Amino acid sequence: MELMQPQFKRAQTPTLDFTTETGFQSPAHDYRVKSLSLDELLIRSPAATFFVRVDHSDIDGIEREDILVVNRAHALVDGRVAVMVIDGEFALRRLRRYGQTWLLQTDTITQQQKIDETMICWGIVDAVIRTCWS
Amino acid sequence: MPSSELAGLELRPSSRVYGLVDCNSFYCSCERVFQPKLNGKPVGVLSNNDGCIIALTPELKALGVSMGAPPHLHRSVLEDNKVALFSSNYELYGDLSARVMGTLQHFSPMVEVYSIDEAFVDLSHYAADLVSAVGRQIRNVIYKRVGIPVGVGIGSTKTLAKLANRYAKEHGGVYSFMGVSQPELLKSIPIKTIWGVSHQYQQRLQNHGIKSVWDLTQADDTWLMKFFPVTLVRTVYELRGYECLSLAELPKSKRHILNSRSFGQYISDKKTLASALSYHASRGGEEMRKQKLCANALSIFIKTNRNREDLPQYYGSTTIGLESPTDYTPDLIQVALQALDRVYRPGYKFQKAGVILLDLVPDGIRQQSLWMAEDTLKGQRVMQAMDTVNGLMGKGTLRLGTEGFQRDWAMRQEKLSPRYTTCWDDLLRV
Repeated sequence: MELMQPQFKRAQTPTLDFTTETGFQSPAHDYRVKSLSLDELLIRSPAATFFVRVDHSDIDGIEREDILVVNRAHALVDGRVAVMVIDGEFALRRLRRYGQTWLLQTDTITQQQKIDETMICWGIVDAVIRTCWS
Repeated sequence: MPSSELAGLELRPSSRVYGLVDCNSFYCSCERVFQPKLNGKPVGVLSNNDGCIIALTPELKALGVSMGAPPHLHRSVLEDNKVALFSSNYELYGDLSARVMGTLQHFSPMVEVYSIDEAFVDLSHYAADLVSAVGRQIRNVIYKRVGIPVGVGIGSTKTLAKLANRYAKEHGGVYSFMGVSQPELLKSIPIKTIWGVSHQYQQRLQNHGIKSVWDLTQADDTWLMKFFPVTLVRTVYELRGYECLSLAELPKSKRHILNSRSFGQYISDKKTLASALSYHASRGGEEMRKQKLCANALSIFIKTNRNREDLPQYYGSTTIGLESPTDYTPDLIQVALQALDRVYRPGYKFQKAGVILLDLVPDGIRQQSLWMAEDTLKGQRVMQAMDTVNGLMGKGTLRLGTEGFQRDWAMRQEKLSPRYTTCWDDLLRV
């Protein structure tokens, strides 16, 4: 297994002074690389990305209490899961495109719903975060 | 002819294009992002301790409620119309403000934040016939990505952009003074709507038959120079399309006080940033006391030099609500440093830092907790003494150490919305 070093944004990352008393650089100096950041992996558009907690899901792979990384910068994308506003309430729906029309589906019931102008696509789910502790 | 006092400036018609982007009913719009069912419904936001209304939507204005009104005076109107009222959630507003400003950077290399909900963008790099379309795109993209509706005013000087912004709402959100001379419109705008023209000077102008912005642009320079301060003459030049005010020289917004400065050299360590912010906070405190104002919230920003693409870039900004309106420097410094703790990241070369005091109210209506009263009075006397000494001996002669002042009893915030974007336990639930 590959060992990866996560970066904790808030934590004080100690900055190493690679100059030794002899004035020579440490031999490790050339191998310094930026550590990995989950933000960098999961957040494509920082100003447009919001975290959201799941209360109720009819979508496969998304469970109650999951944290969703929701990106508002996307246009509608066929097959992706969207946070929709329907009748003023939030709901998770899968987007389906048929020609010019967009349909909303859930994975539990076969019913489909056409997108109309009273609905808002609040954002598209880019990632699902689930912790293993509770 | 430009007179000697203006001669130091390059007086050529501006070749630049500025946009002023202003968020509509910003605090209320922030609440609506997370409660979309409130779109089109009356919404208001209350000051700290829920004392008075500091932000409201046009729907609430239409019910006869005005800015600054104490909600208990309108109880029946508010209840009958099921008005959604919120305590001010500065963490949320500050975060969404940073997102709006961040999104603007896609459109322009130069974004100058003017207040929590306003920024100037330099649009000079777009073709002249495209700027209105760019304005509309800015509006669409910000609404789509952040959920905040904005208006965009466009002009060849910042003063014109600001003036154009007033007409954005009735023109579908974008209004531009570029490429068209519009004497008809300028004739219909009374001079009282212009930025930074005091009541006293308005009177004097009107006595000489100058009633509209158009009249003002046609006024004789020599006469203006003789009877008015140079700042007004500069404003007239700005209205004529000659750029002569930098951001720092623009009329101060009555709603906030901004103090910031670029550093002589890049600063990375937190301690130095802290002392710069303390300095700006205490200048802000001084300015408020002079104008007899108190702030309801304080916001800080620290930024790297965007023009140095070779350096890692970071823009950190946060806003904190004060537990009661204050002009008391030690409190301001304490909150500014608390804000720095939140946004500071090591490893960046910072170029600029600043403190913005928000939601200013006259100090007469300062709301205090009973047990705070004596403390505050003592504080006021100390501050007066400090201002006097600093006035006589030079700014910053007397300064405060930045240690411990704790005032962490809870303020009244019964209608506080969750901190959707700054607290894991407060996330939006779907």
